[in-house]
Amino acid sequence: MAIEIPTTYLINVLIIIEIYAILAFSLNLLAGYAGLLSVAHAALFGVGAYVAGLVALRVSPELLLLLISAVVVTALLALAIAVPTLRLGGDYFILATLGFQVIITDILRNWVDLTRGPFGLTGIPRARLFGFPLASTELTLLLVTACAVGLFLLSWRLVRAPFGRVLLALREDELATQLLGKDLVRFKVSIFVLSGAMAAIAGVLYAHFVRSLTPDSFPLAQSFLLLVIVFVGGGGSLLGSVLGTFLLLLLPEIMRFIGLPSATAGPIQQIIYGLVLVLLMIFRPQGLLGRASTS
Amino acid sequence: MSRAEPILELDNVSISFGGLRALDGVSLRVTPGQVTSLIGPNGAGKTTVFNIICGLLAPSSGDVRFRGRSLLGLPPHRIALEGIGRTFQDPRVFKQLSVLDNVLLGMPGQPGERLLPAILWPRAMREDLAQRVERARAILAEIGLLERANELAGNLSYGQQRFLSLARVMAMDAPLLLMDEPSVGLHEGEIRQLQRQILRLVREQGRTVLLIEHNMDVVMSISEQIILLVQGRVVAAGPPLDMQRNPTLLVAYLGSAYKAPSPIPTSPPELPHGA
Repeated sequence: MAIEIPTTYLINVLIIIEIYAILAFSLNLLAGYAGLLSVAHAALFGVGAYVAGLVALRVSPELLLLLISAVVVTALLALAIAVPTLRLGGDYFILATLGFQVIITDILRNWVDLTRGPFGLTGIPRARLFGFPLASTELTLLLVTACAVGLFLLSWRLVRAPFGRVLLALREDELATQLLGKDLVRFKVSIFVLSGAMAAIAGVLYAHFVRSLTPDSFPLAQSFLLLVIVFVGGGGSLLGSVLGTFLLLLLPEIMRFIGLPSATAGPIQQIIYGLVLVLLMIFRPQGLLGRASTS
Repeated sequence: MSRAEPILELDNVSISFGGLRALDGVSLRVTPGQVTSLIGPNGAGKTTVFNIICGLLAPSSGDVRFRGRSLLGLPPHRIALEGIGRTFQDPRVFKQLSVLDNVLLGMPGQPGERLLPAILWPRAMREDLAQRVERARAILAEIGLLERANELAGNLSYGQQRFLSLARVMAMDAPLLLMDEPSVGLHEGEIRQLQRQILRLVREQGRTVLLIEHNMDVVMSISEQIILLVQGRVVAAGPPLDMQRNPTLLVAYLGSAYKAPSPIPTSPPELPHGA
């Protein structure tokens, strides 16, 4: 059976996948490499998107301005949570990021003067590159692809440099890493801020693409989904995160085309989704491209 | 006896855990260029001494000085960078990393560990890295693990992991090495290799070793100084011959753990020729 799939639909799916891929591999730097589980990635993504949306609406939709403002604001916020919480042990860090995630969605919902509350931001203008409007879907795809590839290569270098080696070491044994003279707080704060800044860039692209944002666009469930993508793809494998994004975002899209009766489609999708995750964790606990455990 | 300034000095150090006084006014000096052994029954506080030196525990009173400067209040990584390397009772190697990466992790001051060079990979960083790999391979060759360099450390035997943990602190270029029971779990041949390696570190590379060790053959044959710790106090200290003349002291405190050294080694094991 041949199904006619419109090209714009494919391009739209690809854009969303690429934005999620940026979120996934940037979270992998933190959760997979350094072993710091954060459930605040959606919030950082949201802050980036809202800053871009607000700047585009009120100041100018110039892309460089959007990127710089979103990255600076998000990085400063990330720094503000990282410095006090990363001095504490691992469990406290998860709780702190959980708190941060909840606070950010609350702020987006309730600071009505700034964010228009539950109505969100609408009519966000398309970004411009040096005055040239990036109006078409094709140009958006080009922009998103360029950012995704650039950030991927940047992350790729980082994890292959001695910096990445220290991240992997502190995931395994913080005490031993520390007694080799590595300043754990510096490494953890750097990677958290960098990962947050990359989420902010994904946010800029998202605001440009969907052109309307609500507080519900960045829920806690999204943070969990990103963690699932990271560990399905393989903690400590950047390519795994890209593969995981394709798998977990395409699965529902493919099921859409199976042609289930609409009443049962939703629950059955969820069941298949859950089943795939459970089977994966049983038969490949290190994730699709993760390193095999030695023990 | 050498009258050199001590490289490490504990001055009246005490610490309590709850009601237990784990260390009670411990004072000791470690002379540079020597092997000093810290012995005593289980629970005497030997590892606690190490943890205080490394900055993992803060003493309730007393001072710890390294090359004349107090270490108190410094975070553990600063103390490591001051020049104190430490191995643990378990090897604690990074099992998911390669043997070579484990050694490279020991090296301080790497430009590639800073964020910007790690992203930009400037030529200076790549050259620095290449040099460090060479040096790491030389250390692995010295310790006999070069042919395993690219394997995961978790695939090494327990004894090899112990030697790797030693290679890792050797890469730190620290003048003072603290080793917590390095001979545990090693077989006869490996113990002899360990002794030779420790002597090489001290005699050829001019480092200082402070050893916690239960194996009395090892202690007596390579130590210049022995310090006996019992229930958080230093009860005896001196060169091996003095301590041996008083074996009742050892037997009394160490009980069955103390095996009278089968023919007392009078000289340390020979260094391999040309090593």
